[in-house]
Amino acid sequence: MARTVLITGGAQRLGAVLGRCFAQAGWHVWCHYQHSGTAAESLRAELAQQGLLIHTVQADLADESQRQQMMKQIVAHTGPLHCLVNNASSFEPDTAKDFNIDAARQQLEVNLLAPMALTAAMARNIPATDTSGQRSVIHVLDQKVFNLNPDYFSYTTSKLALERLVALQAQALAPQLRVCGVAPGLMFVSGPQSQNNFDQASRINLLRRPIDPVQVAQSCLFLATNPCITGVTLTVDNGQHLLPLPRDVMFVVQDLQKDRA
Amino acid sequence: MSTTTPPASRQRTVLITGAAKRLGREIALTLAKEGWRVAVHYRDSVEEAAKTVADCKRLAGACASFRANLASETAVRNLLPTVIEEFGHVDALVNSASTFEHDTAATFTFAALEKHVRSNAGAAILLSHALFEHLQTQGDEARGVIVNLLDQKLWNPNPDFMSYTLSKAALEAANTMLAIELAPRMRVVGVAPGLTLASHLLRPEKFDSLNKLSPLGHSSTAADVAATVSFALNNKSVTGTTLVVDGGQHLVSAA
Repeated sequence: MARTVLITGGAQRLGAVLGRCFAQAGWHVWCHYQHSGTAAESLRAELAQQGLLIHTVQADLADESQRQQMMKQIVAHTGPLHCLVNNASSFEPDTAKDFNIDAARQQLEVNLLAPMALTAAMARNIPATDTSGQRSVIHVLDQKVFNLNPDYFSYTTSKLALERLVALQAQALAPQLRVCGVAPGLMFVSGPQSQNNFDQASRINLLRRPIDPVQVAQSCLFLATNPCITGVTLTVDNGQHLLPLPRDVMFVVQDLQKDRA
Repeated sequence: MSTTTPPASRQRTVLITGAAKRLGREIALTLAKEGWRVAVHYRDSVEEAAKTVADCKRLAGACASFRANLASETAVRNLLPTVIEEFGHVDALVNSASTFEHDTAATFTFAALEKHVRSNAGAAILLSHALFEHLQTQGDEARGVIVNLLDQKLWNPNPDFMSYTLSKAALEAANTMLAIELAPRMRVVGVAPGLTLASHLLRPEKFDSLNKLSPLGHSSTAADVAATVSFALNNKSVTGTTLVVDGGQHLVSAA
């Protein structure tokens, strides 16, 4: 029987790349989405054409009852999950001095509490006797947890907590569940960023070329497959974490472009 | 003439240090299975090296062994040129050989420290840079990758094996520094196994009981570590970081 994976925020960007990658490796994919119903449906149709199994499921990850309902629906259809990829992120610009408390709460809810709640729900469905190392949770982080800058303050706070959650959940949920992190760098045009800004910013890393999202998805698949790895985060960022910058890379590029103009 | 093997000039080639036995051998076999030509480095294990070569040849077609004492700077500097002479080009390096002798602060000597640092960190640095210089002669587009075998105990220290641990700590720091210095031509990735195989210092009974202490109920297997090395060689976006593959051993106190 195919192994099942739930990918949150699975309709677009890295989520869609993850869906293709797991499905092509023979996994049965659950693609979660909130507002991107059309994108989720077109991903489903694309994979179905290749004969690959994918279900879509809608939920607001900031709502506990919707989270639990989604997990119930999945278990009822395909049994306990083999892998959960917490990929969905809420990402809003704010600063340490000036942030909206409700916006900060929303980001912590989606980026931290939802991964905690979904992981717990997944763990409760796994039989105590299943210690095969075949079940895992992967939290998608951000290279900036190892290379801090103060932009996107609440978002960064939520990802820092999620990074520590990797080891804590790994201790708490072994041997039934392995818990790993994947920390990518800049992969897609983000927030207010222009394509022109992205083209320049995406090369600001040790390898001086854009990060291929497929390599990030392959890293998640590798961690989902290797039964010996738990409690660690893999940084998949062309070495971006080793280039410290005073601000988010998109603002550094903006300033560079302003200086040149 | 076989049409299934790519021309020798384009077949990927990897030098693996300490590949005659144990983990290095497992890595060699895994990579040979994936089509890599393997240069098997060894120090004293002549017969075991010959066996690894024979096994890799069956899998990948080309394989050869190279003898060198990694504590000798001259021997280390001569190693990669000899491999290049045999294979024409080299694309990757796996620093797997380790000197591993017991000491603590109480029995520590400069001689023990120097012995471990020379072969476990110094040789890896010299070989890495030699590979970098070789790739510079292969054109602007030539890219390479280095994998350094570390140890989960860097993230979970205990006072045993003082000199060995310091040498691995140095190699972990070198892993980051080389990733910065040799970019964008080379990627440099650490792989940190846990307790993987019983050894001359660890009898099978003790090995089994220690192994069970890992959160997953077992530490790393040689096959899982070798698969991780293969992943690190193949994934084009990973550099300057280390993947711990240890069954969660680093999460629990060894005391």
